[in-house]
Amino acid sequence: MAELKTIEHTPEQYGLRPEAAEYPMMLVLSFVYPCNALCPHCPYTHSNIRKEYRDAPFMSAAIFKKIADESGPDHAYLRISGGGEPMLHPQGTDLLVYAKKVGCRIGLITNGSLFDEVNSRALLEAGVDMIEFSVDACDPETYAVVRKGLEWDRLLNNFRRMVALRAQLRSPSKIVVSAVNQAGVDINAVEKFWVEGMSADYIIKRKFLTWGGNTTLDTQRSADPAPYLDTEESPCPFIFERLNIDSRGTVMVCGYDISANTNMGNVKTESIRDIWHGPGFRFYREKHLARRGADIPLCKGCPDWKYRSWKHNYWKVVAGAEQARERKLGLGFHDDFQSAGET
Amino acid sequence: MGLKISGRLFYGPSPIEKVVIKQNHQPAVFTIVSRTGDPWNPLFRLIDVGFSGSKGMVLADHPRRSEWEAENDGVLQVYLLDLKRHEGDPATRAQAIIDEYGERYRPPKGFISLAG
Repeated sequence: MAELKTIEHTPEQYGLRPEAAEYPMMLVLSFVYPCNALCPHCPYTHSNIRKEYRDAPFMSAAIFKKIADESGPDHAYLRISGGGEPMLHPQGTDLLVYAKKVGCRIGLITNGSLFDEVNSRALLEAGVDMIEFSVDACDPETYAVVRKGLEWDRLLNNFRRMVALRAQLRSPSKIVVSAVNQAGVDINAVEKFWVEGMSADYIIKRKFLTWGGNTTLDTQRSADPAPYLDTEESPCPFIFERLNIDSRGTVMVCGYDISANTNMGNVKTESIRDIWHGPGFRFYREKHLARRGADIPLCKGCPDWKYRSWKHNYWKVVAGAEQARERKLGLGFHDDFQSAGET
Repeated sequence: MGLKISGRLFYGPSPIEKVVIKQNHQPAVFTIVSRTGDPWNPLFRLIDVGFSGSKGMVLADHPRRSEWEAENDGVLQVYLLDLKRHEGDPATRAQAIIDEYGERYRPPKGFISLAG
């Protein structure tokens, strides 16, 4: 009988990750708020947030470029996520190509429905580091429920095209899929279908999150509520590695605060480095390191802290997906220039 | 931005001067909230809760406005909860929410938990 692998979630020592000592490792951008799907697990579909961002549905090119220009020298990851479908941004592809040119690493989270030959090729040629298709299913019936409004056949076609183009171009982009572990979804079957059957480099299995005070989502939909962290013992890892920015340039403390009730600063008027080391983040880090994170009203109310892991995280996905990509393209370890700095 | 108050998701915030609910709009419960604390660690205090009425409302003309201003020690904000007419009589539902919040938060003194 195979031995069960125990996943570790906590480090030996807490604090700013060495790679984030000067600048956040990751900037999660709410690049777009509108969406072409109505997913049952989406916090934006189950909140008032899209209504509240009607004045700023898309991050402007000026804000995005300021973020990219500041992040490029540190090769920080821009996670293009949050709010809606990023490929709906009228300048989306051009802006991602720009960010790659100035040195950023890019993780694009997309439902994949809007890819065509032209934008797929542009993203792969630019070397967008991670293209994540949010699939959530492995059959058309389930897909129609968990990705309401989207077409299964289109997803398959767009995914296959991306994989084929990547091989043709020998692109450094990793192509991964993600699925939320929710009621009605057989997460292991989803993994088998996409990783073994469709040649995805990796699958990100996400916990079902509710975003608590931000949404009307119900925890009953979760298929795996087992926590990763004991929040009385472990600080939240996110404030030690990443920050979130909305389409107006406001920096929020973390991905739980999708309603932007916190204001850590604004990238239009302040440098990201200053915000990262400013009084707001210092306050959160000091409280969490003193095991008093729950004294902060926002953190006390966060039902998702326990599902964040110090080790079983995006950086693990990046490393795992890169190994798979190299294997598939027949590359030696770090045989191409773009991946050399990633591990 | 949005605020969940006792399990109900309100949208906002808006300044009082900008809240105008017309007769053809959905009637709404309004909450008057004072935001204090640091920008990165806000606290929200419920100062008042009321109903727009079915004929609409200009919140800036509300008779209790001066009391809200007097109670405020931060930034005064309005959060709204639309009451869809097809889900039952808005006035009855609004009164139930007003009564519940009155008991639970004792406005103008009650703090709203960000736990929702």
